[in-house]
Parts: sequence; structure tokens; C-alpha cells
Amino acid sequence: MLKHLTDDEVQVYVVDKQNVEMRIIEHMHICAECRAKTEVYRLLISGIEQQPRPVFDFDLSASVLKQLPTPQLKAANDKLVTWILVFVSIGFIAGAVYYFRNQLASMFEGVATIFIYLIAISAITVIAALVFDMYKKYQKEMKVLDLY
Amino acid sequence: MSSNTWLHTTDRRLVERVLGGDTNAFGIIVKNTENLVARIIFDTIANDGDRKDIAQDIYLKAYQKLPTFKFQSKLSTWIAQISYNTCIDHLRKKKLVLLQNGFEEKENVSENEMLDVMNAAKEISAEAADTIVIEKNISDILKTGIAKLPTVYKTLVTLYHNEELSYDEIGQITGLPAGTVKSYLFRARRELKNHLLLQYKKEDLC
Repeated sequence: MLKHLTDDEVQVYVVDKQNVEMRIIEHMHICAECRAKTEVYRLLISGIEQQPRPVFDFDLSASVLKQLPTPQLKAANDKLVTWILVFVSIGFIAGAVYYFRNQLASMFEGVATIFIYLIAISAITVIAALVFDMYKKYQKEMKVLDLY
Repeated sequence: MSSNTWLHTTDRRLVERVLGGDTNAFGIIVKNTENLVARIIFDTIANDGDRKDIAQDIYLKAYQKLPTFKFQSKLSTWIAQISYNTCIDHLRKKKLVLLQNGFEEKENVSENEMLDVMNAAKEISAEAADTIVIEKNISDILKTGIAKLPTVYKTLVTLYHNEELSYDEIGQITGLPAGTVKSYLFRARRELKNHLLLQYKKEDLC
């Protein structure tokens, strides 16, 4: 008795003809029932392909572009504020150093140069660590704010 | 230059322009991919009102995530992946079942009914010469059949047969292994075939 192809094998024959096994092709030549099944699948797939393409009834591109943020301008503004803050801080520190220069000079009188170096290195290290930590926190918060 | 390389070059140029602040380039990306996105949205979201919001949401997400796009797939596939995930999240929020079958119980073909179905298959096959009338009829029956398919099956069927995507690409979009995509497609087509044959038989008897 002729053993018919499974439904999956019939589908492979119709959809994926390049990878179909030879025994399936041979079976199709001698079995009208399986050929009828392939015809149904062919009509089915042709029917699926003929389904109308769905389209939006509004201009998607325009409505998306309207909602896009303007990151370049914002970034430029952010950079400007940062530089203003940096210059104000430098000016403030320079002013303080200039104004209190005599007191500052007398502070270190009698202190060995090695201690001055040690104090300077420690201060720079602590400031660098604080700045790095602040930057990391900033990045983390930006990630949290970036909901998408 | 192969079509894939060309696509990747185009994708790269567009992405670089968008990242450089050219929002019009993003408009081109929207135009290039909106058919695929519409396909996914219409397959998964039944409510017309929700579709517009979701479509916009998808592209805003894509815009925000664009700096993280690594060109490991086509840009359209990446945006389709965002679309699919956004739609599925929406369905989950609404507590809708993804693999719920819309077919009635009696549309599951039994052994006895299969004989009738086989006869209908032979009739369809024999009448295939009169293609225009039959294809119109089949197209109408399939429209309701596709609508009744579970959401995941519906998406797989249209991505494969209408958008002509490969199993791998569909896998990337849906997060399913290529083997699962293949096996779901077999099941989906089988359900559609049973629906088609039973409906055809019913209409034939009327």
C-alpha cells in the first residue's frame, strides 16, 4: 500500500523546493492524492500573498519627525554652560590666589619642600577621584533617565 | 557589490547622518521601513486607535537607541525587532494571549472530516484552471482565516510569505530560534489549510 507524505513534507515540497528530498519528488510523480494536497497549499500561499498590504492612514514620517528631540542644539547648549562654569571657577580660584597670595606664601614658609609635594599630590589625587566618581554617577543617572 | 553589502552601506550612511544631527535622514529610515512596521503592527494590534501611538512609539525608541545599533543585522530587521517587542509588550500589558487560537473547535479536522476535506482538496485542485474566481474566493476565506490565527503565527506567516524574510531574519525579529519559526509556520499553514478546506466545503454545500 502506498504510504502518503506527511503534511509537513507536502509543505516543504511547495515552499522549500530547493531543499526537498528526492524520495518526496519521486512520490509526487506517482501519487495524485499528494499532488492534490500540494495544489491546495499552492492556492493557499498564493492567497496569502494576495492579501492587501496594510498601510497607515496618516503620514508616519512627518508625525515622528515632529516629535524628535533636537539633541545637537541641546548638546551645544550643555557644552556652553559647562565651559562658562569652568571659566568662572578658574577665574574665581585665580582671583582668590591673587588676592591672598601673601598669606598663601607665608603659609608654606618653613615647611619642607617634600611636604608641599606630598600635600599637592594628595590633593590632586583626591580631586581626581571625586571628579571621576561624579562623572560615573552622571553617566549612570543619564542611563536611568534614558527610558528607551 | 552584493545587495546585502549595498544595504549595509546605505544603512551605515543613514545612521551616521542621523547621529550627526540630520533628522531628515531619520525620515528616510521611517519611509524605508514603515511597510514592514505596519505589517507587524496590523498583525498584532487589533485596535486602530492604538496603532498610531505604537507606530510613533516604535520610531521614537529606534531614534533613542540608534547610537547602540551595531550593524549586526539589517537596519530594517533591527527596527522590525523593536516593533515586534513593542507590540508584544503592549499585548502583555493588556493581558492578551499570544498563542490564543481564534478557530472554532469544530475547525479542528477529525479523521472522518479529513475524508471530506480530501475531496474538497481534489475539487479545488480540479477547478484550479478557473483561477481568477477561485483565487478571489480563497483570498476572502483566507482573510478571515489569517485573522483567526494566534498573533505569533499570524506575524510569522506574513513576514515569511508577504515580506519574504528568511527564517533567520524572522528569528531575529521575534526572538524565536529559526527551527521554532519553521515549525510554527508549518502549524500555521496547516491551520489555514484546514480552515480553507472546511470553509470551501461549507460554501460549496450552500
